[in-house]
Amino acid sequence: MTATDHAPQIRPYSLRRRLMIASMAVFASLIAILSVGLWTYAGSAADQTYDLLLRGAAIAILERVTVTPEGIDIDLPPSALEILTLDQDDRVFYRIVDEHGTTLTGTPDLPTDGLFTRPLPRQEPVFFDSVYSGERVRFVVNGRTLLSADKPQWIGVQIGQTRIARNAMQWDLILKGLIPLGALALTGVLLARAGIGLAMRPLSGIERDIRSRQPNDLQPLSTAPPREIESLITAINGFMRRLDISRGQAESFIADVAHQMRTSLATLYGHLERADNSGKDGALAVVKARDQAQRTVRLTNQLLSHAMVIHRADKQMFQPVDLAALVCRLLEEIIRDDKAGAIEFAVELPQEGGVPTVDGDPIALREALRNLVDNAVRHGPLDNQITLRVEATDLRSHPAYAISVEDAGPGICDADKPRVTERFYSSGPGGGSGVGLAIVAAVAESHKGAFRLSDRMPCGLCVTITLPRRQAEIVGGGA
Amino acid sequence: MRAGWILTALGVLVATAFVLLHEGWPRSTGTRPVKLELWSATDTSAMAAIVAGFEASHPGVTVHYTEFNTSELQKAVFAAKTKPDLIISPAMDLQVQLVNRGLASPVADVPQTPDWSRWRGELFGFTKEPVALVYNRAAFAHRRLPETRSDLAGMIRDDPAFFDGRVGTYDVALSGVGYMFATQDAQRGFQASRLVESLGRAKVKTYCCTLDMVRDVADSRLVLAYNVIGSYALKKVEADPRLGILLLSDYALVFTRSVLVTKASAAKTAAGSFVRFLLSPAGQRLIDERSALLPLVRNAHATPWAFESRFDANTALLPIRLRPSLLTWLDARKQEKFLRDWQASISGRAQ
Repeated sequence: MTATDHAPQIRPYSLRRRLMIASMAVFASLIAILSVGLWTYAGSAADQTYDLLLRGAAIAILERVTVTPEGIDIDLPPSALEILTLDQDDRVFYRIVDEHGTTLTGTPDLPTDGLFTRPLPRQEPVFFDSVYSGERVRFVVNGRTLLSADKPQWIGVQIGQTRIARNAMQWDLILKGLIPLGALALTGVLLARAGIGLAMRPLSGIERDIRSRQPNDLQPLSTAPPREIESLITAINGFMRRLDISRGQAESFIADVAHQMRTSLATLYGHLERADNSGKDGALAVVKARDQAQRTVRLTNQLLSHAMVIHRADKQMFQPVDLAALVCRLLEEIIRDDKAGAIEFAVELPQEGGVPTVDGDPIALREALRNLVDNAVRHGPLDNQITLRVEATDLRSHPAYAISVEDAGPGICDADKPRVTERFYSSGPGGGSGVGLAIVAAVAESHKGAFRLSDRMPCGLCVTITLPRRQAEIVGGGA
Repeated sequence: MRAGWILTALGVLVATAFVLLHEGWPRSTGTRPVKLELWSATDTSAMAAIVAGFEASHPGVTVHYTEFNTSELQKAVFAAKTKPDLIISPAMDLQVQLVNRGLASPVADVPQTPDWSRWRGELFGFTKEPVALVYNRAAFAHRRLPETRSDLAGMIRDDPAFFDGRVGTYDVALSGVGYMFATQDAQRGFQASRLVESLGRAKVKTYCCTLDMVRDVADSRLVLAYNVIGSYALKKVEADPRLGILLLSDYALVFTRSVLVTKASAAKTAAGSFVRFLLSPAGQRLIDERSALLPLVRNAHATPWAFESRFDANTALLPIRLRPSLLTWLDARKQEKFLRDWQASISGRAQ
């Protein structure tokens, strides 16, 4: 049906064309409405003009109808029919009738439009259209009361004229009206076109600005945008700012990672060199080298995990996540890996309120919890007691779920608490890579949640991530 | 652009439709033989050469000519179950009436002729014939010829002995064209009615036909005949030295013989060709040279002529217009009243 049906690719739509089509549609409907008006006006103007002639002819005839002692005398004036055919091609019909519609002279079979079945106006003319002799004919019936000796008598004249002259005049008027109207519409469309071009100019300015930038230039757009596209510009600027921040983070991350890896590998290399020595010193160095290699592997894993969490946070791949199921699955994994040893695990889930569900990235959340549990296992004593708890709570006065991991380990001293979420900060001699809690904090942040460290009585650490409750669930719960 | 294509296609469509309509496609007649039925209130002899000329230039078309007098023709047309294809009559009022009743069909591409001689593209005058006065040259050998109608009326009043019983004119009750001439005279002023009264006092003789009047003028039974058909009379005058013809200088009526194609005609294309032929230069030349009629348009090829020069006067020519105002005089009441008044005047019982 249209060209786009055949075209395999979808062409972007054009604002200019849409606006032009809209303005042309407006003008077209305007012309249509005005044409209807013009048609009606021209028709009534032509009818009025020629009705005057028709009535004039009727009056000319009526004047020559007189009462004589012998009866009614009708002396048809030639001028009457002459008036109606001045240089025109119209046919004319006439008759003279009495008040019962009986023809006194003229064409007897003219249509009456039911005129003589109802009371007749004494003086005023009656106009009507009727089909006669194969054509539409405009008729007038005009009467006059003649005073004779015995009683007054009404005599009427009916004159009909075909509509050729009227139609010609009507068309003439319509054409004369339509020509300026058409010119007006054309001018309007051209002006609209120019106006649209003017309105579109800021867009091409922005395009030029973006196109001419260096790839690393992420400064906000400087053009003052019109109101209509202000939000678009704000969005573009916001996007560029996020891009800038993210690039900065990536750069510092890469620098940190490079530094850590280099340090770690250098240490490993040192231990391996000393392992060449024979004796007890060498044996110790081998053990140290093995520990260092293990730490390096762990560090690498955590760095990759961190990078993945950050990457996934950027992509915002959120879906409903059942926290209870998540916790249970995680626990199963840990027990299966048999890292637990003598550690005692406990799980506390909310008893009422249905399935605790949040909007989130299940993989990132799993990774965060996994890190928390790993931390608890690593930093705690061998007979550690670790509790995984999910409970309903509030976050910034919105309904939320808190996931906490508690252990009976040494905890973190208050001075260190604000710094443990920084990358590569590790407290204490038995500290890990310093990436684990940074991952947890990043996940909490990307889920618009909160991350909190607290002490557990009598000893131990409690790490809590609070995540906003899933929106649909709130609505469902409120209903 | 797509809109452009649509517009173009639409334009082509409209143009095609217009051309087809204009050309009257499909042409129905083709080369099959066509017989045209022509009813005419004109002497067969006056039309014979014209009809023959048409047939010669249109092979396959034959014309069957039937002659009527004017009022018979009208009645026959209204009464006929099978209408003729073409109708020719000098009675302009009756022809206008036929068209006004919607019995005629339009003819396209007819050569341009004066406005007064055509109506609605359906009725076409093809001659231009003055209404004249024929006189006996011997009778007026030592007398002044009348110049105007009032002049003539005065002469008749002043010299009853000379004119008494020796003036002729149409019997308006018998002759359609005679009635038309009389009513046109009456419409043009009181001079005419004065003249009619004078004619009545001079015991005017009334006739049915121009040729009868001309014959009686030649034989000296009449000294003059008023309101004769100029074309018929002119032929006789040119052949007979006893006769003279003149147009009165106050005005001379000019009428036209008109032709129409009936709506009922089954051969409108061929009938239209006949109308176009009558008004074509060839047809007009035939009328000029080979018939008793006088052509409507001046013919550049023929010897320079103006029919005024064939008559003995310079005069104001008043063409009777082929218009519905002629219908006024066909009104039954009007006609009855006019005939009554005319009869009263002509018989010398003027009120």
